[in-house]
Amino acid sequence: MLAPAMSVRPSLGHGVGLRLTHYDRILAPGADGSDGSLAGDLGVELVEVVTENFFGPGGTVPGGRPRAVLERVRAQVPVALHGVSLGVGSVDPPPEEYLRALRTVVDWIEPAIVSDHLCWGSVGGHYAHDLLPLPYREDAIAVAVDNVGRAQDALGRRILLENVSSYAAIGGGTMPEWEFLMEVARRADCLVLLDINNIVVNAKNHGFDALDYLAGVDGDRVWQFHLAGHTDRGAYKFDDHVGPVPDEVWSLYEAAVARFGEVASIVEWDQEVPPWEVLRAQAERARDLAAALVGGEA
Amino acid sequence: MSQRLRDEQALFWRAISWPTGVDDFLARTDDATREAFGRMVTGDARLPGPRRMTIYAESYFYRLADVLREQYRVLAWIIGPVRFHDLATDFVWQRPSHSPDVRRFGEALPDFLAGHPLEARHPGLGELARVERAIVTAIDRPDSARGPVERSALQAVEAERWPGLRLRLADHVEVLTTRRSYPLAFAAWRDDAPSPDPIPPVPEDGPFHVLVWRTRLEVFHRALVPAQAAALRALAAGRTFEAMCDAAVELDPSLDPATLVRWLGTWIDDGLFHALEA
Repeated sequence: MLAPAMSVRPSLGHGVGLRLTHYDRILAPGADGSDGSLAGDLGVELVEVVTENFFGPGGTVPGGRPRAVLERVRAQVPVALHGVSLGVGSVDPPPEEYLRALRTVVDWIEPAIVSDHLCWGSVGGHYAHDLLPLPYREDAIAVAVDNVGRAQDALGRRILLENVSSYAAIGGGTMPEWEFLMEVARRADCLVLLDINNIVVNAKNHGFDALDYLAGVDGDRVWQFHLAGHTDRGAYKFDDHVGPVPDEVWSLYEAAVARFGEVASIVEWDQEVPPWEVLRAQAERARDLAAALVGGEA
Repeated sequence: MSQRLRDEQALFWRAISWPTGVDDFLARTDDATREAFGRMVTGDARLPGPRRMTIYAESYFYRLADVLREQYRVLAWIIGPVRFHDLATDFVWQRPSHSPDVRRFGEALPDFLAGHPLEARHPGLGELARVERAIVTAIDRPDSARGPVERSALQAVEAERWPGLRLRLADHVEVLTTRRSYPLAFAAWRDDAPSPDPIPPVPEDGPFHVLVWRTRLEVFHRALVPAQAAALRALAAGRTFEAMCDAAVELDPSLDPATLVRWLGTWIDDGLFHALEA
């Protein structure tokens, strides 16, 4: 078993996903005449970034703008590195060069959290750059556990796996999604990033009760939540991270906090990205709702 | 390793990357593949299996097309949204991503354009894409371990040591040569301006040279006269200041030492050099 850096869920607070739109704000000279350091200006407790955006050429630490942005953010708040290309469910294991690049970023930025998705994304050396669905079967569990092990060995730490939104159930599944997720996490001894929005999306797309999902999750392994918006397209819900977190997601978030206690959260908003203040207000709502349910400072 | 899972992922990939869509893929494939697809993707009356797979197929294409559009904004503007959509379709289909880093997806587009019918009808688009690619990739090239060389460092070099002076270019500096000139394209491009129609022809009256570089956080590009390009290339090859001057004067015998020193001063102010060896 891998020795975790922290065996008890840390209190990392509530934050937002940093997107390119916000880089100028991070780098602009501060209103106090400083050189652009944030000086408390972020107003959130945690920031999540997409890991691969900070892979430098050839797996090096990047230079220029990405480096300046991430170092300035990291100087102010803990950072969660959120990958999109590990593809733990791909039958082809993650390339060594990818794992080395990931390790380089982790060693450089010393993130509070390293996460990716329980999905597959490549086959035969071709990358879809999407979070593709796995069948909820024993053979897929074995592949994912093996690949999570490779990643955790390469990093020397546990990672968090996120449940993904999906539009197609891959045939022959023998268990519900939540059981699949927890079985991978238990066997790989990894942690879970529970995306509340994805549960809401999948509940509609696959016809289950979102509360049943929560009931099937082992809270000890849940170290982070994702909150986001989606679009209801009638026959299905589409996970596009557009707009504010909808009420349905907030409601399930409250149920999750009531069940699992205080858990770090990140609000994702990827389309029509709003000003930082709007995003920050969403993180503040997540913090306030959690505080009302489990106590602590609002 | 599960052969079943491998087969499913290969079939899933074929279905979502088929250039004319999932329905067409199923119509054109053989019975055994259609049956395998039916076993793999479970649908219902509300959302049949092929429709569910189409959601992934559309996401696959539009995500990658957006990456291309973001990286080749001037090219996209010049050829317009319809032609760019067609170009992206061809590129996504023929050059699928081989890197986990999506930002590398478009790196082959300039070479791809060289053999594309669009380039045959509108020569020079590949060159334009190559300049844009250089600008995009300059943003995160590794920072130099040493800071940029300052004018004061140059001024401290004794006069007799100048001929043997070597200035090392930073990793983020690139000099490109094209057969056509694109400053007008870059100057005319605005995100919110309508694309030119028809695509304006650009005469092949080069060579032209473009300098792409980065200050700490911003990327710039500027046209160079041939002698400037030769001078910078001499320095990039590790040659001395004297050799740099020879390379420039060979192309333009009218150059005087004051002009060459002025160029050097401008490049130092631009932060092109990360080391000075006198």
